[in-house]
Amino acid sequence: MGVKGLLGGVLLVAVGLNGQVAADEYEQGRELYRFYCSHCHNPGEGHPGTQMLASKKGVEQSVIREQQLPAEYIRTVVRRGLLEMAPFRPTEFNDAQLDELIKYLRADQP
Amino acid sequence: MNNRPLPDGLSEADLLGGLARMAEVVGKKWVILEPEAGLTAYYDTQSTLPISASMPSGAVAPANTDELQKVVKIANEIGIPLWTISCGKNIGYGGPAPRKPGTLVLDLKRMNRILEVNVESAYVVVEPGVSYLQLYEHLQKNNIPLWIDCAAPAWGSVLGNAMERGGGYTPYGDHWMMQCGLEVVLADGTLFRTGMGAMENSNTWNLFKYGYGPYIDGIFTQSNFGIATKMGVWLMPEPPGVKPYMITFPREEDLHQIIEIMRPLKVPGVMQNAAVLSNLIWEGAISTTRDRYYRGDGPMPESARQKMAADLELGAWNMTSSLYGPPAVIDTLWQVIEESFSQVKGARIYLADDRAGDPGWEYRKKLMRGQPNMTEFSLLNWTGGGHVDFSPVAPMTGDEAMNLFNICQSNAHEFGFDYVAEFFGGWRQMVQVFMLLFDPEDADQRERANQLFSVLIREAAANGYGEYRTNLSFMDEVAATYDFNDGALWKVHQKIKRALDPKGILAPGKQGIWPL
Repeated sequence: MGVKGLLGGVLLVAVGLNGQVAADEYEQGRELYRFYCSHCHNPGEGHPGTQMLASKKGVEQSVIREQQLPAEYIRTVVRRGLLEMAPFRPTEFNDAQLDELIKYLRADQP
Repeated sequence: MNNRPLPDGLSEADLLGGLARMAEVVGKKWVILEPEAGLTAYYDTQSTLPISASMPSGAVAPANTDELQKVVKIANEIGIPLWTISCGKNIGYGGPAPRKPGTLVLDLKRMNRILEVNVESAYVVVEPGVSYLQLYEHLQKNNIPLWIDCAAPAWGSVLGNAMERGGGYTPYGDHWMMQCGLEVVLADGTLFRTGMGAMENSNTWNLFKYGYGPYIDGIFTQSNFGIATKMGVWLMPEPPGVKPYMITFPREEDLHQIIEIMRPLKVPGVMQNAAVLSNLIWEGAISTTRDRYYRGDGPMPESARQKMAADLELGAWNMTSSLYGPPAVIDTLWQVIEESFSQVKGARIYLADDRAGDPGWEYRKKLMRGQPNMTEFSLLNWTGGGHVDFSPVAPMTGDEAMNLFNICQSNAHEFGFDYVAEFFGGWRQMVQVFMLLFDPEDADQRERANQLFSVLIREAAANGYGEYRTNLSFMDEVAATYDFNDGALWKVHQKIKRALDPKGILAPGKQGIWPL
């Protein structure tokens, strides 16, 4: 038998759809970061965003999760792109979700 | 007031009137009109041309096929041209931006359902907005032993990349070959299914590609004849064994011998997946940056390239491929492959556990297992992010490979750019992707890149090579090289266009096909 069914879109809404209460106030932002950002911006080799920032600003400033970047700066880069980073559209994550992402990016390291 | 580009023949009032009606269908927030509302994310920021050359008037994003049909009908009635995107990540070929300024982007990212996963027959049915990463994670989370085949960037659309006839790195890497069953909406809102899906109660829509009568799926790829809303995609069952390998070759001129060895292994399928042969800078740029080896203008000198090759244990050419199947089969095939390529003087072989910590080899191994990632974008850091891909097709012979390589490298160097390229060995042909990398913030580099690309199109065509796909800016130029019998094929395309989309609202200019 095949596994059939209508499987709702991107995982980031899964929390909401399941009707579960978020485990913490950063949960949605963390999940957005994991799905959309981490593949380029996690620490270490193989992450093009981190590599680019290391070459432009130095290794100390290469990991965006550690930078407390200004909210407006993040918003602008996400919607307009920067260098090799293509922009993200409101259909990928909307402005309310972008706010959650920014909150997570600017939070102290858990 | 803004300086929104408008479609030909439409006033701003016409456009806004149509958009107001579309907003009633999709909801006001899914008609995106202003830069501050996110329209900037629909620009092509990596082109050789300014953003204005492909700036949309706005974007509209239906949530489902019903909404999509209604939007298309409104557009058709008023004459608003629509540029369809799925995940919008056709980066290097134009991203989410339209061919002509003022075109309204029809963004299908919200249609992102995985409609069916059939484990027994190994296929999925997806909507346009489903990304590689989304599908991969869904299969993983549900312990479904099927592999996806992804293009290098994880964020790409499964459906969209297949519609562009893109490729990947497992034995299922010819994405259009693995497509089975389409649902299409036409410019007048008509919805139909291809192949066996044309039967109301078909049970083989996603199992048998050809159906009964004319086989038309292909005319909707790289075209503007209709909008694909669902696609069946065959998936590869997880194999019992995998043996990825990398072989480096020291000299540029080795290319001839490598390709002559490759062809008789590819044609009968001894090499099972794409044989990817990347040059030094492509492979090296994943783990290092240009300024560590050269800070000057113009192409990196030979001495710097040699130092880089030695430091990174790379060759002038670096082949990555893999074997799949029962271990006994893999062992047998491997003997042939190892013996064959070892004939190239100085060839060095690396297996899965070799090259520990080399991010280039790590991401190659992932891609050859259909594990999406973003590592390949590291090579865009080489010059700052701008890039257009030059992708001609050539016969898989040593003479043709050397000729194509020489045309591209010599012109790249003459125009002041590095040669950064990959050859994909196919069944009988090969595609060379020359990634023309430039600093998008340097107007002079953009202009030189733009000129170089046109020179390459012309010289390639004079040698019999045509591009399999191209950036928005060069769609007309490439179409003009398909000139047999006075361009007869494009005249046929125009006839189909006129029949299916008489008002010419779907993706004007896509692949050089314009409304009459």
